Amino acid sequence: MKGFLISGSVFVLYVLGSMLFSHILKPVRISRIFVPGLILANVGYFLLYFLTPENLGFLGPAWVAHPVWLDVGYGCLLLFLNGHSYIDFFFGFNGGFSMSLMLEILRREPNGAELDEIVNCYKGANGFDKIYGWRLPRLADSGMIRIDYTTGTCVLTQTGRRVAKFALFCKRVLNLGMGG
Amino acid sequence: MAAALFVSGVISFAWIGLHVALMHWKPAQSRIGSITKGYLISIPCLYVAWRWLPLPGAIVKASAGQEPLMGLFHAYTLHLLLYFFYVEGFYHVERAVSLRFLIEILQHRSEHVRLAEIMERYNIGEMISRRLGVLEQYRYIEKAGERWHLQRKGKIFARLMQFSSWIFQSKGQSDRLK
Repeated sequence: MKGFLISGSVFVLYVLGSMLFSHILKPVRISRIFVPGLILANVGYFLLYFLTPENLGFLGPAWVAHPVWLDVGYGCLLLFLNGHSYIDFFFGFNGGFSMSLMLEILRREPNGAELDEIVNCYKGANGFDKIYGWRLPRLADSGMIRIDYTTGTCVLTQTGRRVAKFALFCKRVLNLGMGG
Repeated sequence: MAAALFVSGVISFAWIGLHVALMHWKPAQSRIGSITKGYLISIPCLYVAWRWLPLPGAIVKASAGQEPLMGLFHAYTLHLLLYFFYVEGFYHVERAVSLRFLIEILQHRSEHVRLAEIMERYNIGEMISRRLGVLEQYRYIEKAGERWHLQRKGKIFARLMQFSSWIFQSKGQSDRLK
């Protein structure tokens, strides 16, 4: 139970901390808060686990899980799964394409929006496409693709190729179409 | 605890494996709905397995002397989090625009791909039409004449997004570049 309790507490602190720092620092890339925060949360979890008493001072003997490595590992797994859900929630909710579409419609209620109006929201002042205009540099920054702006071409890096192959494999396993 | 985690893992992988197999045999119209059904059906199965499934001696030995309720609690916690993990993974693989873009390049006949060609084949209009169709199917939005409107569920989500964006000081995809 100790692993569960410490993992849960560290996760709550991680969520509150990342919200606070995002709000104050307003980072361009939120992953600069999420990723170091998650590493720090893991370090904090292990430190707290090994520096506190076995029963945390209040757990009965039957509630102390054995063996210790299993309890530590379980807490770490919970932290990873909760952290994944939280980060996924953020990118799905705040940065998600569907959510941004609904937000554009909300801004136009009660009249609603036509398809062309929505499409125009994703075009910049000089007509460039915001979906690609924002995404392509990000993919290049994260080492997935290399862009040659002089020829207007791009090529997958080794990492990008691996990710694309893995994604394609997952789509086939799950029997999904091209999606996106 | 060892027994509970073992059983939770077995049941989770069993229902997820069954769901993947069913998606090949008879794909559900609402994939997420079918994942949730699979999870709900597996809830009583987890209890049955925890109570009666014969386990290897080493696992039984590692769980001896511990509160049974604690084991059950951990089993259900892990079961729930693995369900979330599967849903998140599924959504990401199905919907991610970046992954689709990478796959488009991978499947292109030549290694160096003209960006304009990809943008034309997987263009913004198609992207938006397809996603509006998905949102309509799940009743977040509806079409009246030529105009799209939010349904109640869509309004709640859009407002929650506004609030969440304020907390994180983040921008939606249409607001990122001007």
